[in-house]
Amino acid sequence: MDTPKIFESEYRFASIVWEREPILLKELIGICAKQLEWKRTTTYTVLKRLCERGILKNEDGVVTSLYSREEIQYSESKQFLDKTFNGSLPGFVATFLNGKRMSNEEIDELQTMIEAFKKDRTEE
Amino acid sequence: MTEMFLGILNMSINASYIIIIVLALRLAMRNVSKKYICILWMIVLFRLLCPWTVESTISLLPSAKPISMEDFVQGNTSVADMGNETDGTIEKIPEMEENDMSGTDKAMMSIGTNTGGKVAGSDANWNIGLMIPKIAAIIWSTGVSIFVVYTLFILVHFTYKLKTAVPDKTYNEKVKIYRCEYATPFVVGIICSRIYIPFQVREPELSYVLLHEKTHISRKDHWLKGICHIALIIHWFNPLVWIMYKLVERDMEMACDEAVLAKIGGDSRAEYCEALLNLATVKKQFVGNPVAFGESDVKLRIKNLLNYKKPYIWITLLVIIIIGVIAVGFMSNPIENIQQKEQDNDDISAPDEGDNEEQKVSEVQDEGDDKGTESEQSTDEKVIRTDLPIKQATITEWAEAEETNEGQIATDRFMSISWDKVVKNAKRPYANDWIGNTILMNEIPEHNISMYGYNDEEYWGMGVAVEHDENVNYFDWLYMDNHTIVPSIFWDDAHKQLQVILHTGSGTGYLMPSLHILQEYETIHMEDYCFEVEDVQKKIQGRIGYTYDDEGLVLRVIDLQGNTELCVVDFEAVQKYDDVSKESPITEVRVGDIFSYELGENIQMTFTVGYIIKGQEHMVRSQYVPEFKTTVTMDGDGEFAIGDITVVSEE
Repeated sequence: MDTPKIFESEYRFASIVWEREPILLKELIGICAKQLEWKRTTTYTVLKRLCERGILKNEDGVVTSLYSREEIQYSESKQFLDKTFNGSLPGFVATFLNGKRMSNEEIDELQTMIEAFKKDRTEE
Repeated sequence: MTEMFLGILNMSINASYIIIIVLALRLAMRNVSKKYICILWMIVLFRLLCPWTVESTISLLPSAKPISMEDFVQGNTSVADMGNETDGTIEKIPEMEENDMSGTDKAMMSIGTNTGGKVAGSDANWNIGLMIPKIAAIIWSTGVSIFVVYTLFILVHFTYKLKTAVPDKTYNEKVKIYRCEYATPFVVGIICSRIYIPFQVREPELSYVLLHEKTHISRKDHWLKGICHIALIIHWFNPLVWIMYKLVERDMEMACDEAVLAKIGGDSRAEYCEALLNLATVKKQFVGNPVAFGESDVKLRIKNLLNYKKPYIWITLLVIIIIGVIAVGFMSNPIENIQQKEQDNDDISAPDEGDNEEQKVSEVQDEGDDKGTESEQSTDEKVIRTDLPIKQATITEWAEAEETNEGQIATDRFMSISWDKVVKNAKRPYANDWIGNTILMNEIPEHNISMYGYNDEEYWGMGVAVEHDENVNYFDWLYMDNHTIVPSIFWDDAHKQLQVILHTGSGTGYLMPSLHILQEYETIHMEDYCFEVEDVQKKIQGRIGYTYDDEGLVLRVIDLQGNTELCVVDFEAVQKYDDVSKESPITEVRVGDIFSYELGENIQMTFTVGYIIKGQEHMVRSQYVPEFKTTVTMDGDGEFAIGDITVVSEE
């Protein structure tokens, strides 16, 4: 399933929802005004946009998300990967490793992830 | 509005000189800090936008006279040629229906023949040449409107994009910083400035961008950009201003880069350039974007930074001196001295005074001495011009001489007096000591015709009785006024008509007698046919045309019916008594307030032609303008007509 795109400013907005959902629309407007310095109308517009795209949902004045942060992040990252590395994760990692050095913690973390992933695969 | 446009045009032209010089200097000052160039650009902007100028002798601007409206009125020989119709082909000037049109209206009516003549001031309105600046002004203001709309559109578009911008609180700065989705960093707000940086910009570029934009603000660059934009809107038609706009943008960026470099130190130069490179966007920016800094021309900026070396002190000093000279030399306008003006008058191009059009005539008179090309005036022989446009003479205001409405009442009163009373009280005609009875005003004994005047208490000098043989006819004519002359009569036996002239209608400066032809039917009834004064005037006026040569001071009077020349008066030759001169030209020729009749088998009418001299109100009747004579006839329907016009010669 194709996850919808999200723009940077929309992402920041969605973050607020992800952190606090379900959240009253009234409250959301207030927080946006404070954190993002957005006008009421702007908040409404962006919310409407995201609802149309199916990322958020506004029902009876309560805002919830239809996609989680992780899903969106995954989608965005995948797009980046597809575009830049032809979808090859190793390719990405290799490039990434080329420039920077990974800390030991990071190596461990990665290894654990790969192990866990492998396990899930065999279990299917 | 046309005036404003011309003013701006002149400002643009003046500023253009400076722009060219600054362009040249810019080339020469490549190695010097760009901030000096920016100062020069500020001078240019001042000239482009500041309407007030001072005149001084140290101005370096070339002293061409400014363009003004006068450059488009007359003076162009090409425009004058349009009006000349020579060799007898006169435009048919329609018979005037109204006789209460003023002189200027009539002058305006004879359109097409007036653009060449310079005498009547009202012609200027119809001068095609004047349309040029008006049209140009309209085009200019249309362009300005388009640009203003475009600017507003961009601003609106911007604010729309900025709505979803998010404040960035990670930096503790005085200036508010936001992140947005726009492609380049920019500054918004002249007074309360805010910096907007794209989301995508990360460290290490972010710090540099921040510094760059902050430097822009502290240097008040956003002010300069705004002023530049206004200048472009106003001077959109000047390509040099466009060039300036682009270059100001560029120079401003480079000057800012240099300032940033000064802050971070020369060692960071390479890193800064790298940051610039990383941020270089290929995306096309709006042209004429008022508040964003086009981060294009990155290559040039990097080159500038990498090449930048601290110049020698003396070069800097030299540059400062040059700037000083430019500033002083171009801030003021050159003085327009009188010699300049006289020189310019010798050219074919027009005079440069800023007078309004009413004074055009005297202006022309002043230049009359210089324009020798037209009338070929040599000292020996005067050439009488036959190519001037012919104007129609005007009727004087006396056409509206009071028409008494008492006609009806007079008739009633008249009818109440019996003939017996009239005859019984007949007295010899004495104008002044006649009191309230009847007088015998005139008689033709051989035909048994007598004419009596009577008077009643209320209508003094009104009521005429004509007796032929035993028959009496009454007419409610006014036969008396301040200058009473009893009526003249003539009996035309062949036509059985009694011609009567009532010598009323006279006063200071006018003489308009009434001609009545009484047509007798069977000696019982006399039908009164009157050649009304208004009709007389119309007929005279419709026949008299004239040309006035304001150079040679020659007046030609022309019979419009056959386009024959009636007389020529050379005022230059007879200057002793007449006021006509180059400074006081004839502005109008008038007819129809002095005419007189001679009765007989052929009724003759004599009339005089007068003229108005510029600046005076009274009509002048010159002894050098002859009187004219014509015949008056009446057809079977009582319509009057005048015949050929001849000159009354003094013999």
